[in-house]
Amino acid sequence: MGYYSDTIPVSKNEKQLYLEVVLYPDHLLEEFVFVQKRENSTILRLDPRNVENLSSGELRKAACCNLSESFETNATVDVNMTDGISGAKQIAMMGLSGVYTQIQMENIPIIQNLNMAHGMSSIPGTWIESIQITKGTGTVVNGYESMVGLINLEYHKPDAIEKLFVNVYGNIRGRAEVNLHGGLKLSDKWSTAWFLHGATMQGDIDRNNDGFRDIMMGDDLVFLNRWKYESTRFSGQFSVKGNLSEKYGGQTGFQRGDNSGYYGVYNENRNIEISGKTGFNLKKPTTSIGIIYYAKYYDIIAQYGNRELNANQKRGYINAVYDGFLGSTLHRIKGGVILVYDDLTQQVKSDLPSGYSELDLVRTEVVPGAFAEYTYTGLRSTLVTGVRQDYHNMFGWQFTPRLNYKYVLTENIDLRGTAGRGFRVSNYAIDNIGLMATNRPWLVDANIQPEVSWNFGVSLLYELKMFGEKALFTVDYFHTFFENQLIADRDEDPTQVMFSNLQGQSFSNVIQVEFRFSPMKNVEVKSAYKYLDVRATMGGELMSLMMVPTHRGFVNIAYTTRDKRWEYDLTASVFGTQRLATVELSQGVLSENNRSEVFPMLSAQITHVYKQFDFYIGGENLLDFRLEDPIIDTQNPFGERFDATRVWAPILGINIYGGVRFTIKNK
Amino acid sequence: MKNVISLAVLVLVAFGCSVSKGGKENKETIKILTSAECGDCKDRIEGKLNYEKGIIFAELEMPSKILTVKYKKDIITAAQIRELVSKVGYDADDVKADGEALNKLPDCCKPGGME
Repeated sequence: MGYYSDTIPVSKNEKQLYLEVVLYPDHLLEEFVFVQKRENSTILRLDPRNVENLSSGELRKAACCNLSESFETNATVDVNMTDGISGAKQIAMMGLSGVYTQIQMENIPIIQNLNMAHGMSSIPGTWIESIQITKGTGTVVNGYESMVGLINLEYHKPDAIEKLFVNVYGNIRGRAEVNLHGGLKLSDKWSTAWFLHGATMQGDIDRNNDGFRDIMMGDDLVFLNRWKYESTRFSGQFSVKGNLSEKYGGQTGFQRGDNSGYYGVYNENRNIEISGKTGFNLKKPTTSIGIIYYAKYYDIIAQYGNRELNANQKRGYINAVYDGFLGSTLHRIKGGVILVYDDLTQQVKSDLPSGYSELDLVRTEVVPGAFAEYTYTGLRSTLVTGVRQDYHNMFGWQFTPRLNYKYVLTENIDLRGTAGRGFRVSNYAIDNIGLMATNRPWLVDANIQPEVSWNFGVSLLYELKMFGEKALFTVDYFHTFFENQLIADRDEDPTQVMFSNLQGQSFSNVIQVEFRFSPMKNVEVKSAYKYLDVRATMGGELMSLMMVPTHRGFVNIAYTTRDKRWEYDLTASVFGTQRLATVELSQGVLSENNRSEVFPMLSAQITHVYKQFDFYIGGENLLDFRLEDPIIDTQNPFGERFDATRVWAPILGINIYGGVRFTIKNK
Repeated sequence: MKNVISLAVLVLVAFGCSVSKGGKENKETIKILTSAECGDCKDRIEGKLNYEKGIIFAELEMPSKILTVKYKKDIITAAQIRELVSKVGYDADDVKADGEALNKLPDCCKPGGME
């Protein structure tokens, strides 16, 4: 690969300084990520934003199953369960729900609205080459929706993929999974890749004998086909992805499509999406125009007892970006226009003891917008600042400014600062799908306004030597506050859930400290601690957010033998106490203890690498910590007191899994 | 709980196995200067050598290009190890890279490929 030759002025007294020079490849089309491939997880020091890169090595640390498991050894992203009967997992950043984090596939935002509920399960871990986690609002280029963070997924590229990759996984709970991918170069310019994921959960488990399945049964099928064309002047990418999933749980007697008096939980997701990118290199060096397009059709059916959600979403997105520089590459600029179309039809039907109700949400959003971003790359300072202006057909003009700044204090110390605004249109049902698991009625304010947040952060990174190896210390503080937020208020009245606009304050303060070092060759220790203070006005008082632990920490130890044929991995996490909803217990009195306990989690994995084969065996929740009685009033699943939303720890105990990976490389 | 204990034992045993193997007097460690250029080269060399009989481990350090190999003297010799490196397409001390293997390497892995 060649690089565009560049000149950077260095004054006499800067001569002794550690220089950081960005070389631009002479055919740069996509957003280029400069990643050192050797390490499993790295903070991208060149980036002025706070970006952590997880390579496929890090992703291998947890063999199963989809994106949410990939964050097990990551301090920034937390994974929570939505409720006690579906076992669906959702991510959280800075103590705030995953809906405030924008998830993109190769810089295309892919998760909005309906797939916020179960979208993670349609992203198999083995398809992913690397993940970049940005803390803060990030860039303005991809939209206004990232409020606290951005997660970018890089899938395996058609021109650099294995000829064939097979992963077969199974666990003692009765889950089996197959992941396949492969690709080939068709010519100098054309390449293609295909991906397939099939999973089935057949285990009918009710370990705590409460009459409810501890985990949903069912099947998932996901496929992806992508194409890439690349020449010096022009490049293009095109992909089609589809998924189909059907899960059922609830009372053990409940079967698929059966409505005979059992409390059933049923989820069905059907989705097809196409996306593409076209890029043209202009005559001027390192200057290009890229066009990104994306379309999605999504259908979801979710049933929890006598409450049923039916929704359909059609989305279109097109974004044209000019990427160039002013004078010299020290001053880069990006500018572009964007158009988003999003059509949603949704109905929640509830036949509860308090009465029958239908909640409808029908809306069509059309949002044209424009943005500009300027990047200054100095010797010590790097600045990225951008603004975007969008016109929302329902909510008017939206102005989104964002700023990221990095200052290299010494060769080993970086300081970073970020500030930015985020905006999103909420969906009370999908954003709170776990609350379908209570039989309390939902009351929805007729005039729900969009959510608007501001996020500010500072961080320090210190790279040092310990035991003759590289060590890394980082500390950061992030503050987010909402001008408006969708509040699911259960404090005003424990016998109902009220969805309304924020009346008062809502904020999050998070301090995260991380330390990584190698006590000896081939041993890597990663430790992190996070303090979360997340509060919002609910029931007229400023209250801690439910299900957010105040303290959270983990230690991960990874050991690879010197011949690299054995990999050992051990992770111990601790979750602090969390506030729980006050509910009416089966005896008819309000719950008094509304704080969870501190609980530990321990997981381990051993991988044996043998030429084309990798064998792995591992365990999750090795201390077998589980909630005995997570569901309130299991005897009367259709009664008003039934509630499965107070799930603050796993219901399933220990899990042991094993599997094989098989690879044939493309020569 | 039984599961936990048996798994813990399994982990310990597995750790133990990979740490101690064979007698000391038969082993030797050599350092070889190679013509490796990049991380990909590291994978190629280590990937080949670590599966050869007699080699306990092979580790390439970048950017020094120095390959450390620990091996069993009665099974393989230092000369044979250099020959193996050459067969992958890289110089090993004074043993030149095998011409055919060198030609097959992608551009980034050839001498000067990262410049």
